[in-house]
Amino acid sequence: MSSLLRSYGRGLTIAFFAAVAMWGLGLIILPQLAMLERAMTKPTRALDSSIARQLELDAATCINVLEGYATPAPEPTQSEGLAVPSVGGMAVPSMSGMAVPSMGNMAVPSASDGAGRPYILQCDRATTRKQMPRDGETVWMNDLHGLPLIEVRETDTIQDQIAAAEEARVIGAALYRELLEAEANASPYTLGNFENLTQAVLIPMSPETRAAEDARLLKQVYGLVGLRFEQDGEIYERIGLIILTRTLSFAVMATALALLLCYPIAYKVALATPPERATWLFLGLVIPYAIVELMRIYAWTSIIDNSGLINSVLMGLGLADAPIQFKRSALTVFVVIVYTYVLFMVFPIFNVMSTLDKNQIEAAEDLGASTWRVHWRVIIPHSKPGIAVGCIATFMLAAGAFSVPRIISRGLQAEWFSQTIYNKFFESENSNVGAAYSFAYTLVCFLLVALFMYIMRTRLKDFARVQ
Amino acid sequence: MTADRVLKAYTGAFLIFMFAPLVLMIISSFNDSSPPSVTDWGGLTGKWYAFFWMPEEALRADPVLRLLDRDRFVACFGNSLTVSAVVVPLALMLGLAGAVLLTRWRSRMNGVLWWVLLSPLLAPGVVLGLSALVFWGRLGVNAGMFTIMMAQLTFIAGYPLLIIMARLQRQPVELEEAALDLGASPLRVFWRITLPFLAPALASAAVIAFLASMENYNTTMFAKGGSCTFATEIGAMSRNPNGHPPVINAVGTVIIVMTVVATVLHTFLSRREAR
Repeated sequence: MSSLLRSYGRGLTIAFFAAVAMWGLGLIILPQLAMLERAMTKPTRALDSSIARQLELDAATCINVLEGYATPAPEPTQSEGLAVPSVGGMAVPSMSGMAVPSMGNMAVPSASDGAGRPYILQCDRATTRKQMPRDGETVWMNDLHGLPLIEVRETDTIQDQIAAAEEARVIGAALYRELLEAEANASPYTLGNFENLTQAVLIPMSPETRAAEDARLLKQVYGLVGLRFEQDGEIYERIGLIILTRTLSFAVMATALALLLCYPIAYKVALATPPERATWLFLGLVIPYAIVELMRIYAWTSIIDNSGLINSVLMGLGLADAPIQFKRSALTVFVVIVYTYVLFMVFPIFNVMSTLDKNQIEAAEDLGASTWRVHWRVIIPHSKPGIAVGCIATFMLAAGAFSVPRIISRGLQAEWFSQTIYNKFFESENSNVGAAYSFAYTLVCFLLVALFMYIMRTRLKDFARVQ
Repeated sequence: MTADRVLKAYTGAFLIFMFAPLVLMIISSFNDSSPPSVTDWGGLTGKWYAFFWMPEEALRADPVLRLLDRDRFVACFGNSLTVSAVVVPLALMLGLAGAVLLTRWRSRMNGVLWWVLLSPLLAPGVVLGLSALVFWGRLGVNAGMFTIMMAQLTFIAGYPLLIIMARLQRQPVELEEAALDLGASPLRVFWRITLPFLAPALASAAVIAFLASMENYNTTMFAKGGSCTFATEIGAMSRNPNGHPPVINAVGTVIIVMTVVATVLHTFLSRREAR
């Protein structure tokens, strides 16, 4: 700290700290915390109080509609006394018309015995036996809160029905206020959104498709690790986790392939070419690297299209009768991802490799080491930080790839996990689940990277050395 | 020397793998067929380029081009320029501050700072965009240009950080100390010695930050809300039911040519400097 103050002075030092604090807190840490908070917040629809509120509203509407069927009541005071306060204007205008479409033709004679009323949805729902929002199990409101079972029975007299509905309404209103207060005091956080990631989903299948699916090796692997299981004769799959594992394993494979592709190139440019020519080779790597990522992806579409280069050649040679649907193949996305991000592997390795003293290689060769041994004992150990950084960069890019699967597959094949995050956040009913997916993904990726860095004995400072 | 020959052949094959799609892209940008194709030759045309300046009537007469919204495209490009005009200077400032603290601040917090500042470079881009959206949404800022800028700044500032740090570590401390001993104020030393020393690093960091901001799709897509940038607009064209319009290939060709010219020029200049 004192050396900072001495060489930069108080004003500049404060400015530096302020800028870094803004960056670290305002742009990196707090947004992630906001994300975590969002990921742990229940969507308001799934709160218990909303169910109680619904009961209150349904019962009120039911009463309101039933009034229309009640004959000029024998005890007008009571009926009016019921109608006025309860309906209270909350549900009168639109709902009654909705619930009773055939009101006009309904003969409402002197029937105070309730013999005739059409089906009224709200009256059906005005019961304390309501299902509460719980995953996996069925919980009823009256059991949970110890309420009497109240139903509006169609066979009762209209007056009795109105009375029952009124009772339900009062109970619902009281419960709503009680729950609302409890929820306001209780912690609003839940892990439910994260559980959504591990949730198993029923996959409806005909027997034939099921037999075919069961025979596939990939599905059997899923079965072995618990991502797919059978229950009561139906197949369940943990779709969220399957997409996650699939994306991560594709990313790992892409990274491994990129490393295999790049190591010889980096070696060629850094050590096996005279410097004069190496400049031009280097240029050959920089140019594709510098071109906008999206353009490099679009460049592939004219190759893999149904009427693209590969299909035209294959059909021209008579090797294929119909165009091969490359867009439907996961392999295509894989190849394009490798193409797009492979150069992020070359440069770190190249940068480290070119700092190797060539005399070391010559010395090893003079002492009789074979080519393999020179690589294994001299060049690879020296370029290990570059390899580690390249692997991490390529892995993160491949795992977070959004543009490649979106543009190449055009929705014709299984999602990449980044697309799942997008869909869950922007297009599902509960965007908090998307936040949970995103946060979980960050955690998983960081754990993988940290593990890899531990194994490779890389430190973060290597990133600065290698760029 | 067969191993050498294999390596040479492999390098050639790798370069072909890297360049072939780009060459195909250039060829198809002159082909009068949509979606872009290299096998189905519809005749030589320049209309995919002329799209950007052809008169309105000619535009409406063309069955492919009339479906495209030229004004929107230009506006999105302008948005991109605005975003990078904000992001690049801010990224340089944050990167410079971060680099100074990481190299000069001897403290136990140093390791934590490394992790915090470099983490955006290690995180999937989609996550950064989404967290900026959620965070600023919570503060009452709707998704739009501002969230795009913040989301991009989060990770783009990391590039100047690394580049400036590499140069800062090589800075001779003696110069600075001599100036301080001769009575210059720290601000003056920073202005007259440190910044000029860092100038080349700042310049290349600015170029890289600009390119990163212009081409960024993954992060921007999540933070953009209703607004658009050059990259998201290009990306959105892939959703065209009849395949993307060859206008994209024309834009791509321009970008490729510009990139090639710039990098070749840069290599030439730096080689001449080295001599």
